[in-house]
Amino acid sequence: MRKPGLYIPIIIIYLSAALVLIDFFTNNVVEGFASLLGLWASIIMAFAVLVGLGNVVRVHFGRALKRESGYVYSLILLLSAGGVLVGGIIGRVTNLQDDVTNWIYQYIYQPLSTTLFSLLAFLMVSAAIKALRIGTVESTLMLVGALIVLLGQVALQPFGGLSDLAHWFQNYPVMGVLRGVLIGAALGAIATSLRYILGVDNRYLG
Amino acid sequence: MSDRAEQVNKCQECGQLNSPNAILCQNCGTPRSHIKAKKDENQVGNQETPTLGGRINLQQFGQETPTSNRKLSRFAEAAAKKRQEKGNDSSHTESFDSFSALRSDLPKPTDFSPDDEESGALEELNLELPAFAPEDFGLLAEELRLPIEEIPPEERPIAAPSLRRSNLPQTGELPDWLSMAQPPGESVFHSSSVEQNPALDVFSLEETGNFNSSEVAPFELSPAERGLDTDSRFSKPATEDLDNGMPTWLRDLTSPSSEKQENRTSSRLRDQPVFVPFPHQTDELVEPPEGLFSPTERQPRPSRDVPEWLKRNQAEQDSSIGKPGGFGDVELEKALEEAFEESDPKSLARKLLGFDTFELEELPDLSNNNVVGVVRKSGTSELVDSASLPPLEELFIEESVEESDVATSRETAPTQPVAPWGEGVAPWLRGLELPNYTPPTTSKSEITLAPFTLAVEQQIESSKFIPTDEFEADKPKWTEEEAGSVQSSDETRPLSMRELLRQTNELTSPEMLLQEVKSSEDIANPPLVESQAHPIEEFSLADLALQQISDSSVDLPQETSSEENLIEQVASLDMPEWLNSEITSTESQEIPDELPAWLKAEIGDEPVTPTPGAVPDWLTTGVQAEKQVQEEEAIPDWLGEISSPDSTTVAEAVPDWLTTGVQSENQAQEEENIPDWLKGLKEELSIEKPIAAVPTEAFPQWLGEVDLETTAKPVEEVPEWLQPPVSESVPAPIDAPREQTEDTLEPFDLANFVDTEPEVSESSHTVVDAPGTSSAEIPEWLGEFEYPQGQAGEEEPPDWLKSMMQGTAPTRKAEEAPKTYSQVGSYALDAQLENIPEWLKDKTETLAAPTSPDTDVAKPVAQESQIGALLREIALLGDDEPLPVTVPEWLNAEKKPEPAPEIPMPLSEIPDWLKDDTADLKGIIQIEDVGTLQPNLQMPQMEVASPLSLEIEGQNFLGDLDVPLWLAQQSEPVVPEPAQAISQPSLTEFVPGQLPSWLRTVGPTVTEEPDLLSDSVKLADNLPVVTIPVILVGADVLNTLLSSSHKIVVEDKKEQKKPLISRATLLRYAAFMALLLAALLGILLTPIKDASINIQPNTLNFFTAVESLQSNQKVLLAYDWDAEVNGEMRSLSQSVTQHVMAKRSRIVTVSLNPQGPALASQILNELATRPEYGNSATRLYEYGTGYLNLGYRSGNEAALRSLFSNIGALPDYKKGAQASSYPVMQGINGLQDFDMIIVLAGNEGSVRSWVEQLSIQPNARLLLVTPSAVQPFAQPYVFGPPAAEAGSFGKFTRPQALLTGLSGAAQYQQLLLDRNISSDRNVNLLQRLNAQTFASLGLVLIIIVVNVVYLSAELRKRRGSA
Repeated sequence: MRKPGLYIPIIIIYLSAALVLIDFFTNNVVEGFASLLGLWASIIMAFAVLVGLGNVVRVHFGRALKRESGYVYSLILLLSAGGVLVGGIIGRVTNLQDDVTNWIYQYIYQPLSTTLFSLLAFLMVSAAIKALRIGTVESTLMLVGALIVLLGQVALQPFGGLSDLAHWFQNYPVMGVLRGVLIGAALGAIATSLRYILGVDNRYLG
Repeated sequence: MSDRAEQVNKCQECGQLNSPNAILCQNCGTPRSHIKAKKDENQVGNQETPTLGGRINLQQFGQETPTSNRKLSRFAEAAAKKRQEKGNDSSHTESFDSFSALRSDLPKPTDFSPDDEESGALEELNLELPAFAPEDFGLLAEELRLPIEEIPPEERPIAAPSLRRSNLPQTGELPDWLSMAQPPGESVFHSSSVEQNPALDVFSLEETGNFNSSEVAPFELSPAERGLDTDSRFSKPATEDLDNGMPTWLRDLTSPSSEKQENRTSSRLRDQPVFVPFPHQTDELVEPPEGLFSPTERQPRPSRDVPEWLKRNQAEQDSSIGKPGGFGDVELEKALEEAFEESDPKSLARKLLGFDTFELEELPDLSNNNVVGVVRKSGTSELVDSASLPPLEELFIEESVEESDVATSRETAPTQPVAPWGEGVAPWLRGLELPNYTPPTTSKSEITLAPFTLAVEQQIESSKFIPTDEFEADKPKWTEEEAGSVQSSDETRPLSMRELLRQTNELTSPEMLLQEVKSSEDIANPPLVESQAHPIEEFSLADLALQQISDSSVDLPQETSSEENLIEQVASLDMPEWLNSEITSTESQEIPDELPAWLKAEIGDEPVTPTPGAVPDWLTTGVQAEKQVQEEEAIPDWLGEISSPDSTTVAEAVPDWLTTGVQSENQAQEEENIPDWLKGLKEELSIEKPIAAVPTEAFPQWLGEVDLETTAKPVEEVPEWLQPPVSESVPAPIDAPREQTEDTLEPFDLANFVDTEPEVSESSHTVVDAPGTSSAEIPEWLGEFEYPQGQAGEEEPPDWLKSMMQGTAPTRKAEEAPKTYSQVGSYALDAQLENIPEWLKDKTETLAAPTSPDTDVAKPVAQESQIGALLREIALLGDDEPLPVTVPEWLNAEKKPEPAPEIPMPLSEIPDWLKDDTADLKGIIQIEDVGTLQPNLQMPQMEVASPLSLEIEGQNFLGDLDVPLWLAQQSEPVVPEPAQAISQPSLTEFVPGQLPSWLRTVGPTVTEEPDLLSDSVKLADNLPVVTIPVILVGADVLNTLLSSSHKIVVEDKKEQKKPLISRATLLRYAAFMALLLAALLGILLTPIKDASINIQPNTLNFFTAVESLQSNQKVLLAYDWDAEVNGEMRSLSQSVTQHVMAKRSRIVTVSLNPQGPALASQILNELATRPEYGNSATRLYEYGTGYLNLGYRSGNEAALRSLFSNIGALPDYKKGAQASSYPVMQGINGLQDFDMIIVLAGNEGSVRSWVEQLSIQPNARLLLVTPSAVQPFAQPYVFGPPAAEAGSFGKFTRPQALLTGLSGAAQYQQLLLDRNISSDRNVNLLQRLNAQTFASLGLVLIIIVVNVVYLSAELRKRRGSA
């Protein structure tokens, strides 16, 4: 530790982690401390969202003013954000509650998002044509797995047997691998938390 | 170079990179502070005597450096100002630096600046610290322990083939005083001594504090003296010291301040350190003469000492302060401005200096070291003496310097006596400093030696010296002599034998030969000025410095005539200078005035009688007592001890080396001082080639004065051995050469010379003892001296003069005086080689071929260098016509006819380099008789000795190769013309515009080559009659195309249209269409209408868990999905919510996804309006009573953690009211209060967050609803019942069920329908399932088809390849 100033945040982190752990493993010692910290974090995250919104407005507003390339899209973004914001305010003011925002979401955003996501199917087809080829052992295994998963989507009766095969494939081989991955990720998360708590890793402090 | 090294080597002032060991910045001259420690560490290593370690910073001792002349400062200010305006333009700076070199009293602009002068920094800048580079010390990069890549390219050693430790003289080869200061067995350079620079006046006791004069070596050594630059010591003095031949340190000690001022640039480049030994070596030291370096005798510094004439002008200037027109006026400032605005360096130099720099052809003709330039006016030129330089202000006020002005300034400027080079120098040291650059003089009053200025040297070195109109403004024409002198007068070009060979190899292109043939007429008429020096190719510090300078030289535009272009091209070729000069020199039908006197005498002119007025002061003082005393003061005591103690006698006026010849005691003393390696040198000198009797006028200017002095005195005062030798066996040789060289300078026949040389050696190289001088009285090396064949009564020049004259006018025998200067140049080359010490000869011997097997060193013929012998051997191979010039080997080889006489050359005597070549040749061709190997160099020849015609073992060199017609013709052996009688054609035989016959053979046989453009041939009969140039006949392609048997394939150059859609793209689009059609087929047609849905266990478990809910139980629905997965999650969410409502449980929704609240509100509001779930009549599910939307909670895990407490405090999504205010939140204060938590997660992150956070909550019931894509990530968390029950694996919660995908939704709807729970009809799960099923099947089919096609293609490929 070269900078003495870094001791302060590390001490805070250490104390917070200790209190949360104490709250987790004990009763009536530091009751509610973890919940309080969680609430603070939620508030901070809310402010972060607000800050993010302000940053988006600032950036795109600047682009629109400077008429940079694609400033039209910036204008659309600003209008959309403003429209949703104004709709929510109008809903609260006019006692329409969330009807305005829900209408915007249901009839504007949701169809667009769903349509965009549905195009992923064609992308997957193109990728399947290129990648799912019998060449090497690995590609062959990948092809077999893809076929099984695709057939598992068939829930209709004539293809019920394929669906059962897909479920077996997912419940045993895939689940075994994924559990190993999840356990490893959990151990990594524990190690990272310990590094944060013990001050070994303080890169997040800047 | 690494960043750190770059920072270290960067100057702190100017930022320019410097050599790592440079004490001063090589750009601005600023002392570099860090170098001292570095020097101490790397080079000196003196840790014991810190006061002696490294160079001494005068500032460290508080020494004052006088400020410069105000006038000069103003000049420098203007320069600095202009440089700043120019943005530190390097070209201006370099130009100015060159001017500073031209005119010594000009300060360098980098040394001054207004701020520095005011702040006192000028004192430091004004130090005469030379900018040392590693090369200055002979150090290579590796010796400095510095990786070569860390040295800037411009500072890397350029070419130092001889600067190796192995080449350094050992202890015994050094002077005694130096060898004693050197640890035995070690090289000079690696001695543990400390290098000091006398230019810093470090020997001043009061300046150096603890400095002990006894610990200081007597003087500094030049690299040559230290053995670092091995060749330079024998060839020539430093470039800047060419005028007097003295080493810089010695001249600084002995010469007046003005001289030191002149050599300021030289000092910066060439001042060498002095070895200061360690204390433990003090005992071994020869203590320098007492008071030699004492402060009282210390010479004034060049930098601080203004020349006398300038001092006087300055005094006048000071007295006339305030007068109009003085320095500092606006007019002068304007002149300075204009001067720096000049882009022409010549014009700028003229403005700045007040005179013009010498043209190249003028340099060899000048001998006065005071002459710094010339003023040309209307075809006449007048030399400008350094002492007569006009004041600077006059230069700038007056645009042009009139002759009268120069004359006036000369009159006003007192001429200072100039110490000759030999003054105060030990005899042996004079031999070292013997300048081979001794210009001939016809008129002592006019011809002076002009020092090489840096600017001129730069132009010479750069090989880009192309005369321009501007440069030739005052000259009518750029003559060929000038072109020749560009190369021939180059004294500084670093050449080694290796370099010579390399250049020889490079000069083998036919183009080069063509140029040489074109200039053959010039070869026949070599310039007379070139014979001054054919320096041994050497590598000196000056070469390094000049090389660096030449790198930055400015290319002059080339605007010359065609003839001049040719000359320039030849001159610009990278040939040896002496050869280049010979090739490019013009014919001289008449004897120029620059001819040396002795040569004029030989030609027939009247002997030039030296005038007493031309006698240099140092010699005239020999007879003038007062001057003698003054001269003695200039000579160090330790040097004076060598000379006769009686300084008042006339004999003592003779230089020491003359007196030592007759004074046995002094001779013995001197002999002791001569190192072994120098003894060898003098032995060689003593058996030098005989010199024709040189008339008095043949002596150089200053030597002629010696003659005068000596002849004016009684004979007995002249050393006896110097008296005319009496040799009966040698006839007076002077008459014969006069007859031959009369009127014309006939080319010398080398072949004839070589043939007759042995006889000459026997007859002429007879050692004759001087009358009255016994061998015991003469030093040993002088005892072997051979007196030249001279007329009786004429005095014999000293040995060093002999070598000089041998370098300029060698005569092998009396009747064969040099006909041409080129021949003389070859002698000079030999003489230089002979001066090479033994340790260097070892190196050079490998480069030269032996002359004969039985070489006897005692014979004069053996004294010729082996290279010279090679040249003569090559000359034997010459054509029928004599070769008038000394040409390089390769050119001689070309000239060699076929039946050239074979020179027996035993294999054992073939030098290594030639052996290597022969070894290579053996690999290619078989040489049967190596012993008779002719010096056939593998050079491209045009006719006679072309390698194409080289026949070995009867085979053509080209073998059976198909060569062009003209090449085949040329490769045929050409029958040489019968050798004609060797004649010596006079110059009148050479007709301008015509090649001499002998040289014509060297050129290509143009007549044998077909005219490729005008000639025509007829093709084969079966081809159409087409007359085409010959040049096309050789084109096989054309024959092929025109041949009838071959179809002319005309390529369809029409660019094939690229398909709009590639096959791969088409296939991809087809797959897209198939997928789309399958989905549409499933939606529109619903092929499977009454399909029974296979209920999966997860779906059943999920349904069972929800089914277990009781009325009014609290269920938390986490809507953590967004619109992207709306297709699957909406159906799943509706089904699950519908089921929960059917159970009449209270529903609270929360979202960790921003889109979740809207989706939750949409679905709940829709379902709540249904009659079965709470229409307006029943009001089962109203907002706030049956369900509540808590909206979006930000923070993921943190938000979840916050939901475990005070959840009632959260605002709702619809009204923003506090959640606890709604009846649905009754009894709910946290997540732990919910009976069931159903997470509708749209991604794996949401699943993990909820599972991880809720798992700590005991007895919680958690259900997961995910899309199909998230199922693999969510499935591992799920434990089916009963394993998912709390307590099975502890008290912590596990997900009990997982409902995924559209199929799960369909299954769930099927279960709801089975329980008579109405589902949303708008969902149309059957259609969607049909679409999904067919789309999935279609995608599987596409993948299979693609793989089948791919495999079949691969199979075809393999079969095809098989």
